[in-house]
Amino acid sequence: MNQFDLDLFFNRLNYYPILLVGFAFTALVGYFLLSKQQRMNEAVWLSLAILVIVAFYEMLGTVISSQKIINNWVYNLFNSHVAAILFFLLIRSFLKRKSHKKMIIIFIVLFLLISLVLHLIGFVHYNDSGEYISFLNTVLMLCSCGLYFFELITIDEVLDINPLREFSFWATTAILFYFSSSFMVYISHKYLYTHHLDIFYMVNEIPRSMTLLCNLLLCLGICLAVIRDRFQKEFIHV
Amino acid sequence: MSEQESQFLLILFGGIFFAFLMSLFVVAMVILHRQRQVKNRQKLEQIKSEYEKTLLNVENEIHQETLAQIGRELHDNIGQLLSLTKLSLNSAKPEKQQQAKEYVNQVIKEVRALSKTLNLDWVESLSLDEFINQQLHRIQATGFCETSLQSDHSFAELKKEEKLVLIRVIQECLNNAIKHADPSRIDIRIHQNGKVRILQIADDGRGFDTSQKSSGSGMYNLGKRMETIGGKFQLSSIVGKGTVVNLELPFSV
Repeated sequence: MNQFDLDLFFNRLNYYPILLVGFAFTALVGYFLLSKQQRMNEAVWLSLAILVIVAFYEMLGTVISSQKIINNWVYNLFNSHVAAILFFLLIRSFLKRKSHKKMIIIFIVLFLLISLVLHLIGFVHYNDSGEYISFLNTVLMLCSCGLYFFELITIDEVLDINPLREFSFWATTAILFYFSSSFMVYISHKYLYTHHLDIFYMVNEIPRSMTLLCNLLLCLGICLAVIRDRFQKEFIHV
Repeated sequence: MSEQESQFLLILFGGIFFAFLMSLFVVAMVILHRQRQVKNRQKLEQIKSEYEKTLLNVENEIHQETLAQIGRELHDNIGQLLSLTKLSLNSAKPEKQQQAKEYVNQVIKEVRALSKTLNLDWVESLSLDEFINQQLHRIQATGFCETSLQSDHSFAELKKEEKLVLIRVIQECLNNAIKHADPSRIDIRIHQNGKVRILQIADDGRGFDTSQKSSGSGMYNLGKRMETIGGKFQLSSIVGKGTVVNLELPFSV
């Protein structure tokens, strides 16, 4: 077994995983400053879980790739499955109708089942570029975001709220932008990597920037909840 | 321009276009939400003004009904008492004089009672059960038909507006029964069914065919009035077997 090369790791380490770890750490500190009641808030702990898991797998991916080992499985497992399910659950926590909440659970089960079948029959491999799984989870995620916006314009429970001051609105918008902008990049991942490596590196910045933006927003959500708890000032309702 | 550059530009513009579409979608959602808020606000204002209008109408009708009743009382009761007083005073006998004093006392009492009904304060001091009892007694006293009230006091707690509307609807239902049904019995039953309280007015009169459209708007108005206080008005009738009216009102939260 090769020895772990720390220099290679530090050479590889850039602003992206560092910022993600920073967001996760800030959110973790903020979470423990929250009241017990706020900590039980589904949206808050799911946001924290997403921040921690994203920081963890990005750091793990950096560590593995720095040692010249293929790290596709890290993204396929954590990004396409674990984080995606957490995002599904986060959107589910924003929904009001029970039928819509059930639909999200159906999406998750459907996604996991299809993914399992595709892996079992060998159509996709845990260490390939994961276009099909990305395609599937993105389509289902866009449907989930659609459900949120559908509720926003149809149900009476949200008539009193100002969406621009709702964490759920901004989080769903960020998730929508993240998944839709990353969509094209993920499904053309293999093609760009094998045929146009320089373009691949350029467009790869899109999902990275969107991940940073999305995680920054989730982190802000927790920090704003702390501000509300400590200073009784509510900028955005979490 | 090299092939690589053109591909990059394609991806870039594609991405920008996609982001633009997404932004447009989100902005459209916010605008639609705002429009719904505005419409909802207008609808609420309309409901509020309809509610106030209904209450005003109900109060006016109760006033008119009260004035008519006062007129009847003055003519049939107080007028009679005063005539008897005059007759008694015309006599020089001391017992007649005494009787005249008693008549005057009775007239004073009746006038006091009548004066109380001139404003709507009695609505607050009287429970709905007491009001229904009074109405049924009055009907029975005329010898028109037998009446009964069965109540579990579910309507004991009512807002003044709810009570006003209910009083008016009950009066109207009883008037309809007397005018059109020619019943031998009118039974009122008040009971609770889960989160809803029900007031049932049943008569064994002529009944009518509910499938035939009525020329008047009485039933529609009663339904509308119940709606303004969050209640329901249901009517069922069979020709020859009588009519049942159900007034439903949920318990206030």
